[in-house]
Amino acid sequence: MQNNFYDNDSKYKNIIDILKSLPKVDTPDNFEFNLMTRIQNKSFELKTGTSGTSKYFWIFVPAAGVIVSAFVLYFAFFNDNFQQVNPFLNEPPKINRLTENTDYPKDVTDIVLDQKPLQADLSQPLTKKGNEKTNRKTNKAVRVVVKPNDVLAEEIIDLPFDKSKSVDVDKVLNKNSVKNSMSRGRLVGGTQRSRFNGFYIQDPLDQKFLEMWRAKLDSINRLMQKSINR
Amino acid sequence: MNKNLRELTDEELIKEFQDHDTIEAYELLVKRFKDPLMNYVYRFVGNRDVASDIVQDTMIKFYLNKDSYQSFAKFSTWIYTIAGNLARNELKRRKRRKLFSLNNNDDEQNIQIEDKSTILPDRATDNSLYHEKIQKALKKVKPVYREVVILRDIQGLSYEEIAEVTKLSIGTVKSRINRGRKQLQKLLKNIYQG
Repeated sequence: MQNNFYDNDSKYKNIIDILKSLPKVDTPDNFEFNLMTRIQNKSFELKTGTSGTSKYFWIFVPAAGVIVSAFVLYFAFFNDNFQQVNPFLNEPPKINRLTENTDYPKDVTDIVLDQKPLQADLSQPLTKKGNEKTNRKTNKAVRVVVKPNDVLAEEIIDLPFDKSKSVDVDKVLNKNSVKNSMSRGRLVGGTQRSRFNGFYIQDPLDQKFLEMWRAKLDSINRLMQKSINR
Repeated sequence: MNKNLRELTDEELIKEFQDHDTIEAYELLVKRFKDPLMNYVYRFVGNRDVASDIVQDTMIKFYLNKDSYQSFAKFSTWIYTIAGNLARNELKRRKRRKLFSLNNNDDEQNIQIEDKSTILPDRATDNSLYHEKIQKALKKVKPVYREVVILRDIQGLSYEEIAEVTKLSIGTVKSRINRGRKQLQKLLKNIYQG
């Protein structure tokens, strides 16, 4: 029944007639000669069909695709040599590193005692003016005194505190600040400025916070003055 | 000896070639099948040179693998199977090549039909154009349908023989022939209506 369903040669009689009317195509005249020559020469390599190279080529296409993708991914994401450094995304160099080989003040004692010119106005807060020098290694300060004959002389005095007790204002100020590569630039001390990293709106510093630390510095200053006067 | 060989059937000739390596038996089989195979392969792949190469490769395979033929099968179906496989492989290879090739006119080139009958030149031109159209339409039919339609309607093989050549069931062969003819009918509508 199933087979008879397709036995409809009469339905396609026109097509069958057309196909039967097609001329027969014969082999070229030298076909047999060429064939027997190939056999005698034992040249049995097939001229058509799948050649060895093309067959293996298609087998290795997926593997080659994976290798190429791996290379692309590697160079795109993992190879740092190919990553262009964006200077704007760099975190500014840290203050202590910048000041390592310079004469910039390193801690509070330096800030206080390295101020110039040396003036005898000790009543002023130290954050505005300083008048003493200190020996950084021995925690001793140099006091400038006016002798009765109007000659200025230097006296070495012991400081009431040492470096281990001193306060690093930068550290304290930056203690609570969040550091990341996207944070905007700020002044890093002295004439060193951080690199430009975009047009970000700069938050104003908290004045109360500044005043608090200024008061702390002043109290240290006063303590120093008292010890000097003693 | 030669006269005796000519009287032998295809199966007897291949047996002779298998048993005694008689090259004359092989040559006789080549003579008998080269043109039918050429016609079949040409209609299937649509290129005369490629078809000639495929038939030659078929004969080489037959020469090299003569022992793989088993006497219970018909020699004609065996040799048609070899030729069909090679033709199918060639079509696949050309399809892949076409995929990456800039020149996609490969299929359309050189549809050559050799008509040995002596007819007037203008008539011959008409005929060749007509046959060219049929060949082009045949090439547009899906290869799986085209193959069985050629074997049935051009080569005149029986359904059983086609089933043996294509390694399909007779039902599948009939259904594919039916679908192939249907496709061809659509493609050649203008020809047999006009």
